Amino acid sequence: MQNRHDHKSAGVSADGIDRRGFLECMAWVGTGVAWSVRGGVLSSSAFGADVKPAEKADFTFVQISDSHIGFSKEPNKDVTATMRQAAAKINAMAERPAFLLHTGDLTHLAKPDEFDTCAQVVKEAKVGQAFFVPGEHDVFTDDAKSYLQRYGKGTQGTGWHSFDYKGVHFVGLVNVMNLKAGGLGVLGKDQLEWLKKDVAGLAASTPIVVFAHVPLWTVYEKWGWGTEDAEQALALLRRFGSVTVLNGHIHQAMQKVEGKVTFHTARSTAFPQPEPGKAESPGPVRNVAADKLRKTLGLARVDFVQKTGSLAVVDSTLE
Amino acid sequence: MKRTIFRLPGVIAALGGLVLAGCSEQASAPAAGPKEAPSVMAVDAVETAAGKTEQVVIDNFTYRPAAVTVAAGTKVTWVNHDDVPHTVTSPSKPRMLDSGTLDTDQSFSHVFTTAGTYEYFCAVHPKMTGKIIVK
Repeated sequence: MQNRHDHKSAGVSADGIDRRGFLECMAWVGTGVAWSVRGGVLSSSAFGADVKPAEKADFTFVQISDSHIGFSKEPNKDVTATMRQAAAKINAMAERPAFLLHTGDLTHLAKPDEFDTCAQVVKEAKVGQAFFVPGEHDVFTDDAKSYLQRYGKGTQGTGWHSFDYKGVHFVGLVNVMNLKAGGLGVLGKDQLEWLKKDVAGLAASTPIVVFAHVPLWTVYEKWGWGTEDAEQALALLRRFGSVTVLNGHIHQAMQKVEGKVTFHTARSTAFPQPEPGKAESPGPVRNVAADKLRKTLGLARVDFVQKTGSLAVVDSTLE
Repeated sequence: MKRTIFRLPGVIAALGGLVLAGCSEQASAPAAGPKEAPSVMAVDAVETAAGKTEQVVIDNFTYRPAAVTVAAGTKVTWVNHDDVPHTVTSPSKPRMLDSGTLDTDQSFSHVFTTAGTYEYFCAVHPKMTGKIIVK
């Protein structure tokens, strides 16, 4: 049922066909499966098969996540090196990405030198600009003080912000503050009010990209992989024709399409976590052979095609 | 128990058989002990007189045991055996329990002196919850 949808992002396209009621999106997920959705039918094909965006992208941006600088245990004792490798991959892309989004857990323990190392590696990526949202690892020791000092410039509240790029509206949300015992990620009243105002003046045809650390859909409640008040945020975005939600936190690539909203989580550049419920806890997967590690880490590239108003999320591993 | 006896033989002698009976039920025990002790020793003496220390192990994103019942004066120590950081944090401010970062094998202790139920959670992984019941 999760493949059903009833929309298309930007109304009538160049070929004159009204694709309202369609969602087109394309994504390479995991290491071997590509899927695309057209008119409610999900199809997949082996990785490397000819599944390519029909149109040349008007711009491309990249998402990296969960670099956990400071982590030094199995299965990755050098997370700075693997993050560097992600930067090198970005630099090797045929299309220079317009910017980079880091969806949180920049650091493992929110230490000043961890934040600084992360900033240095991000600088190695040849992208126009970098935007960040914090993960719980970046804020839990000091209520986000160190994070905001370094990465909070130009943001509101505890680090939320928005910007526009070539007709697409980007919103960075923070769902790792004021966590409650037994609860999931939280956006909170103040941020939801800000979001309401932030999108109020936008035309419904404006493509929206939301990025936040913890998934805005409940991937696995038992492990806290969800956001308590995500529904309130999504309700504010329901009138838009195309909403792409980019998250991290769960250290694996996942996709879900729900109506006009496409949810996506990115791999970590540091270590993999188990599939939901496939281990006793969501801790790092330790028993990864050294030569296999980089196949479990990665980043995402997002291509935007203005004419069709569509975004294609392409996951790739470091090796 | 042995450790207790070595540390404060005077108190143990005074309490006699009560200690053997289970050491935690005697509410009067803490008051009896620390009177002559220097103030620096007071907490330690209370804890020892009450009978014991308890340990909560953090393993696989779980506090084990998740609920512990102790006598007033018991020192509870949490030790993190996971390879990711956790915390022991009271749910509301001001936080009575606030361990800060507990990285792998780091521990945190708190002496519970007043009866009550003390709930706590991990500020990094809020699905992790536990409680200490002090009688």
